[in-house]
Amino acid sequence: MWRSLVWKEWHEQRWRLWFGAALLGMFTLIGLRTRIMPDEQIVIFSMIVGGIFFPLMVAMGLVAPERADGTIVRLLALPVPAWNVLAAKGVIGAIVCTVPLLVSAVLAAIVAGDREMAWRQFAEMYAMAIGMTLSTFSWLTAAGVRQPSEARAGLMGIAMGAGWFLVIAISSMLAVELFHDQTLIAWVAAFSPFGVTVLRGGDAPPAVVIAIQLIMFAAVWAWAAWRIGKPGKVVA
Amino acid sequence: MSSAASNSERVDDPSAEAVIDIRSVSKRFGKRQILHDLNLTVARGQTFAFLGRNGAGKTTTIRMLLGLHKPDAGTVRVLGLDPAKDAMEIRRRVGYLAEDQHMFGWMSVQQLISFTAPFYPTWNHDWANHLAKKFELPMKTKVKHLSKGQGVRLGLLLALAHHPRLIILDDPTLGLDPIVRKEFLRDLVAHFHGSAVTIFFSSHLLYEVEPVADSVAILDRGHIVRHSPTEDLRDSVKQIILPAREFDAMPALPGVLDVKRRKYQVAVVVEDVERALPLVREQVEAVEVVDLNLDEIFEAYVIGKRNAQPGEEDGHVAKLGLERVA
Repeated sequence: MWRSLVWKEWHEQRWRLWFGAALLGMFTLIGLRTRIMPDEQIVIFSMIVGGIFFPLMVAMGLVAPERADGTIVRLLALPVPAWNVLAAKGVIGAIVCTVPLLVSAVLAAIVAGDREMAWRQFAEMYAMAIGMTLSTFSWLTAAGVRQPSEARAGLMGIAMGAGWFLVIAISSMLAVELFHDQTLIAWVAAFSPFGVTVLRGGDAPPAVVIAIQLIMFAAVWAWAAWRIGKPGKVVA
Repeated sequence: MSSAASNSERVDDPSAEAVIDIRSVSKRFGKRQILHDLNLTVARGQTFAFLGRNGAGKTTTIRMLLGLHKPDAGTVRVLGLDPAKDAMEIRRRVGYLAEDQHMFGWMSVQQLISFTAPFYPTWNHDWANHLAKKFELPMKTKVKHLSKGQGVRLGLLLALAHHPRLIILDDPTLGLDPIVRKEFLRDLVAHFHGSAVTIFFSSHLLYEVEPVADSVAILDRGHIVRHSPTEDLRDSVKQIILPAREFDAMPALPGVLDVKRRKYQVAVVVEDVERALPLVREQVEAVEVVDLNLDEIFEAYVIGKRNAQPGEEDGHVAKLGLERVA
């Protein structure tokens, strides 16, 4: 059963993986070879594309097209719990989001390893990018799980991202100190889909941030699993 | 297919094993009440027609049987199991052909069969291949390139290949041309002739279920307005045509479903002709009793009732003592 579900998702999503890997790989390669900007900026740009835009592209194409095509009914009527359907989608989606970043990391290491940035710095930044891509992918999938079309899922994802940016921006203006003498922004950001970025240069304790992110990760997927079986449209 | 007569006995026999048993079920989505206090029993081996217009609540009922929706109130049992608790077991034992077949267009027929098979422990590959040949399905063709008729046949194959005890067909011929619809029904009848499999056939096309249904339930706006063996329905629901003047002078008739006034005549559809006819004959001898087909009976229950509300169209209707049959 599980193999069947994963096989189906892989066939449906693999083009996104090739597309993402080719796009991000070429960007990394050209950027680092031509040296049009510092290596760190190239990596940061790869993080933004791989950590925000790819997850959006993958997440909006996971469940919403099945609702638009009506195939979700066939999937949910199979003798398998709805969360299994979502889990297969989640695993393949996570692979599709992560591989382009890994390709970019390998290419960056080959072309510019230990050049302007130390190996460790490279590894940290790409690890953070992968953490962020998995986190944003989870949030965006959960946000779009009941949307009736890919476009609506995309808009919902953008609205959710914008909402978090707004919350972070507002909390950054409030100089409130909370636990461990940390500012409000440090804690708010730790709960957000972009929480792993707090680990780099942030002042919140890393272990706590990672724990918060793992809890949020589990909560977001549980929320998505609960919602996927709900009727998107009532057909009496 | 077992005969309607033998099945009518089973419907009336409370000891007959119920494959589907729905009791006092209600369901609401937001502000919209979809099902109201629904009661329904389908005995083993029956071909049961679940009739209702679009939006009547048929699909919601079916999704409840499969555990895709939970009732707000009441109990549901399918093959003796509770869909809210044993949905997976029910789905393994039930063959389901959804309304307006939506399948994964990029898969070939063979791929879709291979994708579906692992979900059912009782899947029979030889039987699936046999059905594919019988239904003349091109195994290497992508699903999106199949004709509508082929798509429905493929859906039927997927619903049958694991030897289900109960088959739920949710408006399976929706969007098909009449020839393909007839072919589908022919396949269905040929396949299940004499078998003990129960078929729950939801449709709004009455003429297509009439030849195959042992028993019928009519669902109207979430209420079951009639549930009986097909033969009983045909025997009891009749149209009585009588002169308009005598009809106007007549006291209220029991179980009136529809009244159509012509120039000098009135055509009254009654639910129980044996009760209504003697009362009519007390007033007037010259009456004509007309047999109705399932289409006309359905129309009388669903549309006739609405036209016959007090204050609408026909002033005589108010005094006919209309009441919901459920």
